[in-house]
Amino acid sequence: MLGRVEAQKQINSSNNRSIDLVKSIFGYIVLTIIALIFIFPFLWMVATSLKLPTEVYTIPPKLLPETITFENFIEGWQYADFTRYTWNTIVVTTLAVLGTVISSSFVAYGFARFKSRYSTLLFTIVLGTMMLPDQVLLIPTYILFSKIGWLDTLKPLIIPSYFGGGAFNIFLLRQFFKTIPKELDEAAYIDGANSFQIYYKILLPQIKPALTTIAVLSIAYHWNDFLNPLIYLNSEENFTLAIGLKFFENSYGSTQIQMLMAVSLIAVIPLIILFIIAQKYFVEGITMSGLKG
Amino acid sequence: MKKILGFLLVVSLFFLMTACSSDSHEVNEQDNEKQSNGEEISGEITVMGWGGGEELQARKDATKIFQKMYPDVKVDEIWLPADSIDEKLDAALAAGDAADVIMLSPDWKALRAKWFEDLTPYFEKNNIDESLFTPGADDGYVLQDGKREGMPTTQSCFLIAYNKEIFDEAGVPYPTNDWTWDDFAEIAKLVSSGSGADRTYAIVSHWILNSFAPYLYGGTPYNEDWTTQTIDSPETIKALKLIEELIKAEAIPDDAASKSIPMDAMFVTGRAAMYPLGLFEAGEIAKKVGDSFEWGVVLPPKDPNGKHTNIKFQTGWAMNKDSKNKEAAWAYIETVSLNKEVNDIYAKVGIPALKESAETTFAEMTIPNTDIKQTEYLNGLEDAVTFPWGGSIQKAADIFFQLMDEIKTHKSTAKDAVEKYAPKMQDALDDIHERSH
Amino acid sequence: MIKKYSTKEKSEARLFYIYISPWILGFIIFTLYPIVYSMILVFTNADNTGIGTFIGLDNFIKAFTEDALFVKSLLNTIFYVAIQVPLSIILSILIAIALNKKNIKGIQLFRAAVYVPFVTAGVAVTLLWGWIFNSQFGLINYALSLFGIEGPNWLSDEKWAMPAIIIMMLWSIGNSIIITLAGLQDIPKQLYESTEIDGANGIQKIIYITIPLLTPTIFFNLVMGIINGFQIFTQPYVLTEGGPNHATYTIMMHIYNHAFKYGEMGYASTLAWILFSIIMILTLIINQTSKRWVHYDN
Repeated sequence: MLGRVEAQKQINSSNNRSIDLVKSIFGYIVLTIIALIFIFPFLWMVATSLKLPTEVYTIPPKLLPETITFENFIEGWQYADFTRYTWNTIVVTTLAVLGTVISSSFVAYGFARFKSRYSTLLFTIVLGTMMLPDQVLLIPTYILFSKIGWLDTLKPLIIPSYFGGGAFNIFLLRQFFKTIPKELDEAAYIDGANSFQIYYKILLPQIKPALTTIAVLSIAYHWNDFLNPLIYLNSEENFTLAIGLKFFENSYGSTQIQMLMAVSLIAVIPLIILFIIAQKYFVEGITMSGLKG
Repeated sequence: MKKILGFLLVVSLFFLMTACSSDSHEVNEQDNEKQSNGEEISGEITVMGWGGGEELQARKDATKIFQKMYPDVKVDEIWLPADSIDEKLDAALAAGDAADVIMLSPDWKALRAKWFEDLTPYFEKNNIDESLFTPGADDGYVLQDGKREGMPTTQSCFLIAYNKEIFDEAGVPYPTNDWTWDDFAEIAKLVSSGSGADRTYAIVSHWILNSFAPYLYGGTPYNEDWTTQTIDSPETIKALKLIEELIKAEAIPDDAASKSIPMDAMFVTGRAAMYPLGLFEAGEIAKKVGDSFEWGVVLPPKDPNGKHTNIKFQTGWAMNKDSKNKEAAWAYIETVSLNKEVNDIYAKVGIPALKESAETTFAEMTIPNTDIKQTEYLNGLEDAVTFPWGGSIQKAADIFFQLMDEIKTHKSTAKDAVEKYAPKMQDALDDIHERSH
Repeated sequence: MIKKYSTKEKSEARLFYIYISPWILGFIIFTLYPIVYSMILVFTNADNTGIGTFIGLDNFIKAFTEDALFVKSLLNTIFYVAIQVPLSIILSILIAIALNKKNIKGIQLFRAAVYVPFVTAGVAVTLLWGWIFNSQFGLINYALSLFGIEGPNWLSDEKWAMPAIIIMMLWSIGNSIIITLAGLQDIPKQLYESTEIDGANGIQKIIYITIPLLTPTIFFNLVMGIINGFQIFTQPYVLTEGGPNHATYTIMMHIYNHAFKYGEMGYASTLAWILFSIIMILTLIINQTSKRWVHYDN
């Protein structure tokens, strides 16, 4: 069968080379338009961060600055202890994402592969925890962390990730586990593998794209999370970047927009680079196609 | 219900102890350090405040001065951005671990009064009276029932900034401090020109205008103990009608025109002749204007009683009534509110509460990035009313803003809007009072 | 059938509980107490710090008989979900397919572009959106004018403010695009190749192979879209503050106002639990129908 496919491909490629070229140029144009739409606000951030205060507002608005200044980056970074905040954010994000990936894949495996009398009910509860607005849970959650002495430490931002890794991630990984045929588990089981080996050695590699996805998404979540750090942290030396960025606003809502943009940019660029790197794992995952077709 | 919750909390804690037992005990080292000198104030206090930029730096500097004066008191500082502060403070109060000294504003309208210590005895003991304070600074800290819930520190109010070039072009003389709202209306029509995208407005639709609105002709939004709405009084209706008229004449941008251009951009780019310039943003606006045009400031117009209409934002300090170290907490409040050195620092970011500093240091300064004297803000403060829409009042406030929204979107006339919303506002006030008793 | 549970089932149940135990522990430790706390507040007139007295079902009666804004906010939210969720799912699939071409050089950069709004979508960009939707100088109306269309006053027109919020939200669907992209990696190439031989064209391949095999991901995006859509808060809060005339006032804004602005945590909790019930019922219905259209095993 594979031979036939290859043969067919050969014929196609020799006949349609020029059509392919047109197609790929068209593809580039479509992708470029999509990319520009999505990236536009980012470009605006870059442009604003390079502007003088007098240039931020013009009517009609202009995207490009007339004179480029890097002053906003220097002044902005010194505005608060951003070096410290960055370090804290790296600590929280790294540890929390690690917990999220390990814990949610483990739990999702349980939900996807094993049944008990209450498995449906319990899964409904997992989903249910996302349906109650955080705002009415905020006070009791604070009381809880206060009683166990976790306030003003990074623990409330990290440790809960190790207990299930969040309903969103459990749900997502469960979906991906369920698309993998059960024959794969059964074959491994006959070969003498236990359930943990099946999880670790057989299934996890299959869902690499999904694992990468939750890693990338939860990095963004923890990196940008504002409310949780604000509620649970007190001392400045424990603050994260998201809190720091809010200091550009005074208590009447007047914002130093160019500096805010400059520092936001510094905060966001590592995430984008990380995402580009992470894509290596995105395409690698699938190797079991033979079984599936 | 308390039992069930208590039980649940214990269950949670139990699981946690078994889950990660290493983190469970923290020894408080400070307890062991006992001060030998009984006269001196010592111990540990926590203070919680918020803000951004220079304003926050001034607060931190004030704490440093306190530390110099009271080296034996350890101060744990919690300084936060102003965003989402309500959530954090309410959670801390509910959990019983709020700071000893907490920033507050009289515009909270007693919202958290039950958590705060009455400062009256402290005032009496230290002979602190009105004469110490900058006129207008101390308003609103003493509640209806006579309880003093806070001590003033910094204040801010408004002036009207005007673009001299636009006035010159229109051949209109610059406004002077004795103008009235009728003068304002006339000037507004003269200094606005053009149409569509090229329209130059008389004044930007600053968010504070909503709060100014009821007061223009001596009216008020509600009575003194905020039990009865007064937006349907003839004075208030007259004032709202003026706003409606100025919007219709395109002297004030309507909702559509104001929404998509940031309000400061409109003034900074010369698209509006006037701007209600809060002290808190004066320096920033000056920086953005740069040398694009010449501008000046004037007190807001007068109401028929001869008072310059103005709104003030006030920030003060309150003491947690459950504080374990009230002596040190009071020492902190007193120092960061009344100390001359501290108030001279505050002068850079607001009107200091201490009259002495306000009339010397503050009055001698110019608005940052300009050569315009700040003195006028002191005059503005004296007549200003405390921001009327904060704290407990917010439910009624949202109804009032809804009313203004209908005028600004041309949905109703001022008169119809008042008829529609006055009863709703009364319901909201009733509701607020029912809850507080 | 005398024995209801075989030993195999018993050991399966045991494994089930072992694997989900981290979540169960986490639920008991971190979530159960806050949930029960808020459930109890439903029957009280608790203030902003959670202190209050028992008032029975008064909060429910108030929500359904007196509170016109609650009904309005609920309808606004339903409108938002009904439009935004299907659109975001369709767009995610289309964009993910466009981004799934592995042979295109620099595809990583194109994918990163989609991720960018997801990481920058803070309050920081509100100013920018004000500009984009500006009726006079705005980018959207400029684009429309190229086609001879006069654009509306997006943010101050009651009819157009919610569509503006929807457009803004569609711009940050990076997460569901990435999830869909991950779902696409799961589809074996051989399937496409075998239909190619049968002469299927691009669109047929999408309809007969991509979509059916993507249903687990679509199901996920649908359920999460509903859960998150009903809780939309930040964007209308910062962009329009719920206006004009409450056109973009969502149920979460109503809950937030009561909880932290009006000091009525008890009533806010009641609204939160009503919201919870609505989302839960919808999710259960979707889950019931999913047996018919979601294909886990191909």
